[in-house]
Amino acid sequence: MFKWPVWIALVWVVGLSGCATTSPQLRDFLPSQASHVELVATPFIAQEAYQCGPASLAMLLQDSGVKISAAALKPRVYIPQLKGSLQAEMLAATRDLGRMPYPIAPRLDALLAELRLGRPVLVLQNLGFDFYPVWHYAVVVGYDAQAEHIILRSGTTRRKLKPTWHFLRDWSKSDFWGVAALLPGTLPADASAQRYLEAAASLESAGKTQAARLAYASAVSHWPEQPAGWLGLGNVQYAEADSQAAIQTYKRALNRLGNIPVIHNNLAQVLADQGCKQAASKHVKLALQSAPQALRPAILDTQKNIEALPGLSEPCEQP
Amino acid sequence: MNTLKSHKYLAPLAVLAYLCSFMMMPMASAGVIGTQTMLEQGARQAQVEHVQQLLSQSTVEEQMIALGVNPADAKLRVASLTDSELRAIEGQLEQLPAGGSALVIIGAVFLVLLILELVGVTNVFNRL
Repeated sequence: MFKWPVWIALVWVVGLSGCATTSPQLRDFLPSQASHVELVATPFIAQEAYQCGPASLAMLLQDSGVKISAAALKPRVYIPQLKGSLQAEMLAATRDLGRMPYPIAPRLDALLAELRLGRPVLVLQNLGFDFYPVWHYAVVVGYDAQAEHIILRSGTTRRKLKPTWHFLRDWSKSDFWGVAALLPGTLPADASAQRYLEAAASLESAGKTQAARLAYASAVSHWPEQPAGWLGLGNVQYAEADSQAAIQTYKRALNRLGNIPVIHNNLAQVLADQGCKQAASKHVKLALQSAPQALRPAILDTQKNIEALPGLSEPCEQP
Repeated sequence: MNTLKSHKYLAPLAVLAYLCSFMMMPMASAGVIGTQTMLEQGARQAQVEHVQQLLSQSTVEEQMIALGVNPADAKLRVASLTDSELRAIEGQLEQLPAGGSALVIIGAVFLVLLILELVGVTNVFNRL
């Protein structure tokens, strides 16, 4: 057995692992009202050595209705010599499999809100120290307020109960990184326009235009006052060669929100593609009138393109 | 005899104090993927960024292959990343958090125990 100084040393070391994060503000993350939620139907896939990434992602995706195994995800997210998976690739693989990865707000209540909507949350924790990190993915499926436990599918444990303070300490080291897999067009529990539009823009940027179109469409109906949603919707419609829909979207945005230079510019570009020189010129001028300095070069480019069009052409636009 | 014994504890405690001084140091937190700022960029800038993206893609692809990813998979994997994800990863693959396993945690405790053993405090690893 250990002698007493060893025990003191061990307790000291183990205690220190939390020293960076036992700050009082962590208590603020704890939900005030008692609550219990557990998604018992979320599947469990035991990880193989170092492969918590593929296993956790497979659980998250299977729960959202995607038929995919951890083995199939391994060549997609695992990096052999790092013995692990990068966050960016976990997001990318989620997009590739037809779901919108939604990084939840970095708070326990946001995580619990997703759980209450029936969606498990993929989390990244550091089980080690800041100087010796042990990054670990797991899927949160429940919360027991009474016992103050977070319930996880983790590693080789189907129902891991982790004390809330302990979970928060390990989760905080990844800046509370947590991701839900949404069906494109579904809204997350926290419903933050900014986060949602960023997630939709990631779909668009990764070339998942169909999913992005669904996401933007629901953004537009949920947050019609946000120009970015309209802009994104018009842009993906344009990218899908649905110019008429794009024109309609940009116009609806302008009707609703007034002068938005970037939307005037894009509308001008799509109209120009249709050979509608007159209407295009009108909108590019409106764009220039109110454009901030940073946007002017791009709009002047659009204007140059429009002026280079053959002279004639119809107005194409009802007044 | 007694004084000798208490001196024996000084070395491991010094080692621990040294280790703990590292724990106190706040480490630069690893880059978390930046937000999309794509929405309001102009056409010309988009072209420049497209070229940069292609360059980043091949860099990250090479880095992945060097870290043991199958070349055919690496190609598909970089193609799925957004611009900002590529930028965040490029040249950082080995520094970013790579979620791997819970099992390694035993290693950290093991290390401390091993040090204690080597300086003669414990006899946990008699058979090592």
